[in-house]
Amino acid sequence: MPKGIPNLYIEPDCEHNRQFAKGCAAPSPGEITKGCVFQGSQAVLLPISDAAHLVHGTSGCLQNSWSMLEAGMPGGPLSKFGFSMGLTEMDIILGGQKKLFEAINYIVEHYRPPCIFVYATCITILTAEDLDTVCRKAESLWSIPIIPLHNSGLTGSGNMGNRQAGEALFEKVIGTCDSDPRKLTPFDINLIGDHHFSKEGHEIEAMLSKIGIRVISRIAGECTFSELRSAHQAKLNMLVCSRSMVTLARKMRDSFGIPYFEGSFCGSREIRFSLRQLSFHFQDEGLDKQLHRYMRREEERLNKEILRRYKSLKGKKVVLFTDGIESWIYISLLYELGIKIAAIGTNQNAQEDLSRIKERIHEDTLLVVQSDETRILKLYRERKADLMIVSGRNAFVPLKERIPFMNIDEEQHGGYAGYDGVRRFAQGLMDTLEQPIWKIIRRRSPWEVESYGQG
Amino acid sequence: MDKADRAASKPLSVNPFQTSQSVGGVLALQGIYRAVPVLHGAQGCAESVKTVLSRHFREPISLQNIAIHEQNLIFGGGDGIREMIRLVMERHHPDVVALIGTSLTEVVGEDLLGTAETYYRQHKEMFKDKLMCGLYLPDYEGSLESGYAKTVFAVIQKVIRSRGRLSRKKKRGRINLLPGSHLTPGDVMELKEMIASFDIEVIVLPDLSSSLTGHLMTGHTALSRGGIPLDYLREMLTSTYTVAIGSSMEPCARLLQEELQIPYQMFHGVTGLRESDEFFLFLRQFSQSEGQNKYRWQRQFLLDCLLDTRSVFRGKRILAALEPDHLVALYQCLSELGIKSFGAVISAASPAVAVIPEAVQVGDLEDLERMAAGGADLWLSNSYGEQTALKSGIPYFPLGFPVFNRFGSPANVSVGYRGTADLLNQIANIMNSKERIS
Repeated sequence: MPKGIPNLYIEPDCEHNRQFAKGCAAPSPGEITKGCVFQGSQAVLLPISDAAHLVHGTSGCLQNSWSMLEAGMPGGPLSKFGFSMGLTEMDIILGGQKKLFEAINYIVEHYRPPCIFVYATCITILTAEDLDTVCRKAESLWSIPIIPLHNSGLTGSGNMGNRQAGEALFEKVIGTCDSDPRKLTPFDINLIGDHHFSKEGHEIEAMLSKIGIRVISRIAGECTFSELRSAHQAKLNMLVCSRSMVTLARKMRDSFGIPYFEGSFCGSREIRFSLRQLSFHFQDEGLDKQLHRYMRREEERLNKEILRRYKSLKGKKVVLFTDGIESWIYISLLYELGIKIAAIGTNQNAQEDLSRIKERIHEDTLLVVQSDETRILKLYRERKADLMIVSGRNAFVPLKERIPFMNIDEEQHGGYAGYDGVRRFAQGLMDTLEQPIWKIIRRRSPWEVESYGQG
Repeated sequence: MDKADRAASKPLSVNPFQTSQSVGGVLALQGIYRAVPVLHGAQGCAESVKTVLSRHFREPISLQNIAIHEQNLIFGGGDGIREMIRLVMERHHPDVVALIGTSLTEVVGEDLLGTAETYYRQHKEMFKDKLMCGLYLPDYEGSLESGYAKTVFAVIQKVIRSRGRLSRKKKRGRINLLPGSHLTPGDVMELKEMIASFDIEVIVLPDLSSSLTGHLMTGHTALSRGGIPLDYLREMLTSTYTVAIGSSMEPCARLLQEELQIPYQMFHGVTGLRESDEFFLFLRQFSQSEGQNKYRWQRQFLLDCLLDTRSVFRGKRILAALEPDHLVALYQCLSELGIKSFGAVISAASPAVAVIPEAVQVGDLEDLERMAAGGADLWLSNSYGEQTALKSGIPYFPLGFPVFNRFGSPANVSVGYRGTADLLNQIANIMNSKERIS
C-alpha cells in the first residue's frame, strides 16, 4: 500500500478535521456520486498537456476521462491520447507488471513525453500490482519522471482523487526544476482549482495580468510539465473555488513558504474579496493602488449596466439545483443582479461548500441538503420560481418537466468568471427567460383542441 | 484475429474506441419499461456508464449503483447488495430489476447473483409481478455489443423460466424483433413501422425506439421511461417467429427456438439493397400480403441514389472502427457500391466479421491511424476517433457509440430502403464536400 493512507482523512486546514469517524462511515448504497478517486486524479492531471497518462486497468476505466476531454476539458496534444492497459482476464490472473513495463517503453519510444503518469485502478490495487517498482525501473531506464498514482476508485469520491493527485504533484513534480530567474516577476502566483479551468482560466489570467499579476502555473488547468516543476517559485497560491486541493496548498506553504488563500471570481463581490486578498499578501503600494483603481472602474461600469441593460432580471425568482462548488459560487452573482433565490437544492457537497452557501444566502432562501428531484420540483412550483439553474445531469429534471432552465456547466458555456463573466451570465439569463420555447413547449396538440383560434 | 494476437504486437491500447460491456447491458435495459439496472462496482463505474450514455443520447439514464467500498472488501458486501435491492424496490417500484456485476465483482469474489437469488426467495411478496435478473459483464472482455446481447439473453432466459402456467398456444401473425446494439432508436422505430405496415404484430426487445428517442411523456422519473412493458414482454414466448438483427443477437433467437420452438431468421443490419430486399421478402411471405406502395417507391429512390452516389464511392478507401455487427452491416452496404478498399478495426473478436474478405483486426484507433498512413477517403468511427481523423486530414463521419457533440444522432435511420439512401447520401456528402474544398 502506498504510504500515507491512514492520513488521507485528516486535513489540518479543513473545517471537518476533527471528525475522525468520517473515514469509517459506511457507504450508503444507491447513490451515484460524482466520480471516484481515479477519475478525480485524472481530472487534475489530464490538463498537463504534454504528459502521457497510462491507465493500468481494464478498458472501462478510461471511458470516463475520454468523455471529459470530449466535453471541452483542456488537454494538450498528448493528454488527449488515451493510453489504457486494457487488461484481460489472463493479465489479472497472471499479473500485469511485465506488460505495464513494456507499455511504458512503448509510450516512450513512440511518443517521447517529458513524463508519464501511471494510474492504478481498483483491480490492480486488489491484485497488489507493484506500480512503484515498475515505475522506478522504467524511470532509471529512460531518465524521465514516471509517476505512479495509487488511486483506487474504491476508497472514495472524486475529491479524494483530486487531493491525491495534488499530493503526487507535490511529492514528485513541484520544485524539481527552477525556471530562469530572469523570467520571474515580483507578482508571480499559481492558480489551484479542483475543477479544470479552460475558458474561465483564460478569463481570470487576462484580468490578473491587467493589474500586473502573473500566473506561472495552473494546477488542473492547461499547463505544461515544466511549468509545473517550477511552481514552487510563485509568491502566492490562490485556490480558486476549491477545497480538495487544499492539502497541496498547505504542503507548499509548509515546505516552500508560499502562503495561500481561497477565493472565487464569480460576481463583483467575490472578485473584490479575491483581489483584496491578493493585495494584502503582496503588501505593495503600487499594486494596491492599481488594483483598487481597476476594481472601481470595472464595478462602476458594471453597476450602470446592471441598472440599464439587465434591469429586467430584477425580482426574478430562481431555484438553484446544482452540486459541488457550483452550488455556492453563483449565489452572490445572482443577488448582485437583483435576482431572488427561492431555493437551493444540492446533493454532493463537501462540508465547506455548505457553509459557504450558508454564509451567502439571504433569509428567504431555502437550502435543501440531500434533496431529491421530486422535492426540488415541488419547491419550484410552490415558490412560483421563474427559472431553474442546473448543472450536469440535473439538467434532465427541468427538461423532462418542461420548466425553464439554464445549464451552467462550464463545458457548455465557458464559465462566468470576471466582470465580463457577470455580463455573460446576465445576458444568458435574460436570453433564456425570453425564449418563446417555454410557452410553445406547453402548447396543446391538435388532438386536444378543436381550434387554435387566433393563438 | 483474437486478443492474444494483439497482446503479442502491442502491450497496451492507444486510443481505444470500445466501451465496456456494462454500458451495453445498461443500454439494453433502457428498452424495457420501468426497468432499473443496478451496477455492482466502485462508485465511479456507474457514474461513467451513466455519463457516457447520457452524452450520446441526451437523455436521462435509469441506473442505480451498489458502490463497493473498502469495508465491503473486508467484511463482505452482502449487506450492501441486500440493502440496495430493498431500497430500489421500496423507493422506485420498478417492474424489472437487473443486477450487473463488473470486473470488480469478479476480482473481489463477491457472489452477487447468489446473494440476490437468496434475497429474492426470502422476499417473494416484494417481487410479485416483477422480474429480477442478474448477470456478470466484466470489462476485461467483450465490448458494448456483447454486453447488450448477453443482457437481452439473460432477460429472455428469466422470462422463460418464470413463465408459470402461461398459455403456450402460439399467436399467429406475431413476431419477435431482437434489434442489435448497432441499431439506433430511430432504426428500431423504422423497423417497427415496416413490420406493422404488413399487418404483423411485433414485440421488440429491447425497444429503444420508445425510450431513448426523447419524449416528455412521463416527466421526471428514476426508472426507464419507455420501452417494452413487462407483461407484453412475457407474450414473446407465444410469438410464431423471431427476427434477430446482428449476429450478436443470434444466441437470443436460438434460445427461443430451442426452448419454445420459435423459428428465427438473422439479418446483419437491414442496411443496403440486398438485405433490405431479403427483409421485405420475409415480411411479404410471412404476412402473405403485398405491403404498402410507399416501400416500392422507396426502393426506386434507393436505386436512383445508388447510381447518383456511385461516382463518389468509386475507387475510394474507407476506414472504419466499429463494433463487429455494425461493421458487417455497413460493409455489406458499401460493398454494393464498389469501393476500392476497406480497412477496419473492431473492438472485440467476433465470428461475424468473417463475411468481410479484407483483413479486420481487433485493435484501437492508433491501429486505424496506421492504416490511414497510405491515405484514405473516409473515416467512420465514434467520437473518440474524430480528432485523429481530422488530424490526418480524412473526412470524418460519426457512427457507432458514443457520438458526442451532435444533435439527433440517436434518431438517424439507416435501415430499409429509405434509411440506406439517407446513410449513403450523408456519407457521400461528407466525402464530396472535402473534394470540393481541396
